[in-house]
Parts: sequence; structure tokens; C-alpha cells
Amino acid sequence: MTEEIKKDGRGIEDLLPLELENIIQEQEIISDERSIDQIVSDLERGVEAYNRIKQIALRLTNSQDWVSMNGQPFLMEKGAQKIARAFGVFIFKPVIEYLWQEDSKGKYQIVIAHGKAFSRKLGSYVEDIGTCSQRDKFFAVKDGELKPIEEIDFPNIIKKAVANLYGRLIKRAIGLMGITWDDLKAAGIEVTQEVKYKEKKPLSPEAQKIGEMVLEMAGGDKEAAKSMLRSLSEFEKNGKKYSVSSVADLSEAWAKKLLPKVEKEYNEWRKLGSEVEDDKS
Amino acid sequence: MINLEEGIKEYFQKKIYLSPHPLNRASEAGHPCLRYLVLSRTKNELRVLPDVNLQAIFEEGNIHEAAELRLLQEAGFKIIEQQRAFEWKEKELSGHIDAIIVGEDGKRYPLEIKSCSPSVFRVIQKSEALDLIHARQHWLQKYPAQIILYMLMGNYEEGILWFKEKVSGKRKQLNISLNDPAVLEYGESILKKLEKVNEMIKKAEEPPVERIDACAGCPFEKTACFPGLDFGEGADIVDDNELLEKLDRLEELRESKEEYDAIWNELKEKFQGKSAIIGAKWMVESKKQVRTEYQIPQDVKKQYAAQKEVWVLHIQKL
Repeated sequence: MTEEIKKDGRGIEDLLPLELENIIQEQEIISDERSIDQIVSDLERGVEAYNRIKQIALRLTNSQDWVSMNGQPFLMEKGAQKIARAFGVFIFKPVIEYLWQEDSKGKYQIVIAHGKAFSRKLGSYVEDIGTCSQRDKFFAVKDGELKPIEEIDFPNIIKKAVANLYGRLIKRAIGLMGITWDDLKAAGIEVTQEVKYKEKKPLSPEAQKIGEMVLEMAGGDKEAAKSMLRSLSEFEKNGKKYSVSSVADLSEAWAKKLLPKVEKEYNEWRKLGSEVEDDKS
Repeated sequence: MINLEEGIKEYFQKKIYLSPHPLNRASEAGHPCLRYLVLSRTKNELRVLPDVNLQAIFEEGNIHEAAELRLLQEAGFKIIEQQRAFEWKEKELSGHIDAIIVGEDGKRYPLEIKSCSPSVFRVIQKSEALDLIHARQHWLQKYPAQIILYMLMGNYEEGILWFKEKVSGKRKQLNISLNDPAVLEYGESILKKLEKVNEMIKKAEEPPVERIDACAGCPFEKTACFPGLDFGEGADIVDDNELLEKLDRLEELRESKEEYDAIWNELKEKFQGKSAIIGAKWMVESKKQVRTEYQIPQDVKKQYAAQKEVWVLHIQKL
């Protein structure tokens, strides 16, 4: 698209596409002459048409195009693009805005992608935004801690904001916001994939201490430490044995209960070591 | 239990990093977008890095490359100068060539090894090296430029693109020669493009954003260019019972057609050169016929090649 500027100062991308303006003009002409009954009847037909479009759009996708996110169905980019192709969606060049924010943990940037789109087939025109920030848990958190912002890959933040925008524009242009599990079921789509953010909680002081002592006793050998921890943490309940091989798997209560046992083992090991040293001297 | 998958994932993750890009790279010179080539050098920090899955594919390529070099050596070929670095200061161009292979007559050929999927290999099998610049997959478009630039930088008359299909282990050698005027012309066009890149960088200019096929999946698409998206005209929603019946019938017949073709081919093979009466009901005869075949040399055939537009129909059941 050329970067022509109109006399009123608006760039060509600020104007509605010609075909969309034609559709809107046609609709304006029709609406002037309708009676209330006609309007109701048109509305009913509109709802029917909307439901049909929704069904067609959903049937263009398959189970691989959907994931469950926070318990809700979420259409992924690949699936959105299949629908966009069928409905002739055009997404204008987005405008990207970068904003600095500050909270108790320091300064960070938010990327806001502003965009607009229309569907050639439905005559719908939408505007929306997509956002992502340097506080996004998928990029900013490691082992339960916020990474310094210099360590966060900024292109990924921009990309996610734009991808969010494109997804929202396509869904809104076709009328696919708020799709429910029942809608998917009706379209014969069974979603099996789930996007989960695995939040690694920071270790409790007890678990951290256990980890340090066990690793020292294992002479720094991680595999030996895992095996040692498995043996130290093992207990039996209702005829079933439980153990962990990583301190990350210890609950806070379990770590508190286990710490004295590990400390005892560690002190004996230290004592044994110093006795050996004494014997040598 | 030891977790191999997690360990490999972490290892690949560590190998994802942004490498400096101060010069043009031979491996990217054939990229169809001038803006991509400029941004790679001026705004490389905006490049989206590969995710672990894509990195795994790159690593797979490296594994196959090393294995192919070993195999060629074991098969008796003389391989020298593996991963030799090239630099062409005037063109601000650098590259690493996979290997130089030495022929029986002592002639040296730059060798670029590429592993690929079965579907891409089908394209390769039907292609000559220079055909790849028109390939649908834009990464294939870069291969001829890469080897041609190695040939120009190292003064090699001929080079080899060596493909391995990762599933079946099939291989294909595509030769490329600077004695072919089309190759030379293409090589010159690539050098001119790189000169344009260098000039724009000196002037701190950037080519305008223009949406092309290669934008999809480009590491700068959603971080530096933002070209928008156009999904085309869309499809008509048609309510036509007659058409619907025809499409349903077409689906019903598909199985019959497949069965018909399978039986026909089986009988054709079984009765080749024979005649038989079956169950006093069917007469089957296989007759030899002579057909004229025009065996046109490739170089002559190529002169008459022309691009022709065809309409291909795809029918998909929703």
C-alpha cells in the first residue's frame, strides 16, 4: 500500500477501505426504509447468520488449533489464520507504542500494539490493541524470581504484543470472541492441549539448607545427592512409600520435618570426617 | 529417574543466543527481502531468537552435516578445509563453508551440506541448483546464492549442494557451475544486492516495509517491520444443494476410484506380456505398443521453458 497522504492530512491507512465504505453505504440506505417488523426480522436473520458464520469458522479449525488456557478455550495463531483466509481478513500495519512503568520491583516496559482490520467477506471493521510487558510471567520469571529486565528478551515481548493484537483482530472481525467449550463441542472439536505456566516457587529456607547439606555430603555429585535425598526423605504411610529426589519437590511442611533428620546425618558425617582427620594427624 | 528430554532441552536452550552480525552473510545473501538483509546488520538485536523446537531442528542439521562429512570420507572422498571461514572485505561479506571436496583429478569443489524433510526432498529431486531460487520455501531460495558466493570468494569454478533426506537417507547432488551464464548472472545480481545493502547501511537508510511471502515467520516481522497481514479475498459462502450433492458424490466415488486404480495397476503388472481368459468371462490381453518419445537434452529443453498459469482445485471436507 502506498504511503499517500490525503489533503485533510489523513494517511491512506487511516481511511476505511473502499470496499468496506461501499458496504457501509449500502447498509445505511437499507436501514432508512425498514419498518420495526422488518428490523426485528433482519435482526433475527442476523443472529442466525452470525451463528452460522461462527459454526463455519470453527469448523475450519481442528483440535490442534486450540488450547485450554486458564480453563478457557484459546485459538492459536495457526487456527486464527485459517479462519482469516476464509473470511478475507486484512490487517493494517500496526502502530507500536512503548511505555515505561514502575512498581515496587523497579522499572519495566509495556509494549502496546494498536491495530485495525476488516473482513472482506463480512464487511466488518474492528480496532483493538495487543499488549505484553517485561513482567510477562512466560519471559520475566525464573525459579520464582523476577529476572532483571536486561535479561528479558525484548523482541519476544514485542512479538507477543503484536501476535496478541493479530489474534484479537481476527477473532473480533469474524465475531469469535468468547468462544465456549459448548461452541467447540458443537463444531466437533475436542481440545486436548493445555497451556500451563509452571511457576517454580522459591525454595523454603529449610529446603535450601537440606539441599546444601546433602550436596556437600555427596561430594558435589548431583546424582549421588539425589539418591541420598531419596533415602533420607523416604517414609511410609498406609503401606505406601514416599520420597523425593529434588528439594524443589519438598513441601514447606515436609522440609521443616525433614531438616532435623538431615542435620543429624550431616553433623555425624562432619564428626566422622574430623575424627578421620584427627587420626591422620 | 534421569530425565534425558529435559537435559537435552536445557542444552539446546543454552545454545540459543544472538550472534553478532557485523557483515553480510553468504548463507543469507539469497534472502528475497532487502530490508531483512539491512536489519540483520543494523537492528539485529530486534531479531526474534529461535525457540527450543526450532533450535532442535538446527541442531539436527548440524548432526547430519557432521555425519555426512564422515560418511563421504569413509566412502573414500577426500575432504579438506572443513568449516573454512571466508571474508570478502570489499563486499562486507563473510561465510563458513561446510567443506572443500577434492575430485580424483585434484580439482577442488566447495561443498554445502543440507538435510531436509521428505517433502522438501521431493522438490530437490525435481530441481537443478538454480531452480531453487524460485522455490516456495524461502530458505531453499538462499542455497544457490550461498554456494555461488563461496565459489566467487574462493575462486572455484564449480560447487556442490549435497542434500540428505532425513527419513529415508536418500541423497541428491546438485552441481552448480560459474560457466553457466545463468548462474553467473544470478551471482552478479546477488553481489549488486549486497552492494545496495552496504550503501544503505552507510547512509543509515532502511528499505521501506513491503509485505512479501517471506514475511511469514521472519524474525523481524513482529519486532521491526510490522507489515500487517492480508489473507486475500476470502471464500464465498454458497448455499447450493446441487453443488453440495455433487461434492458428497465426489467423496463417495473417491474410494471407488482408488480401488479401481489399485486393481488396474495390479492386473497390468500381473499380465504384462501375457493373454488370458478368466473364468470364461473376461479376456485379458497385454499388447506391446511403440510410442514416440522425444528425448530432448536438458539444455535445449530449458530454452523452451515458460511459466504458465494453471488453476489447481483443492477440496477439503470441513
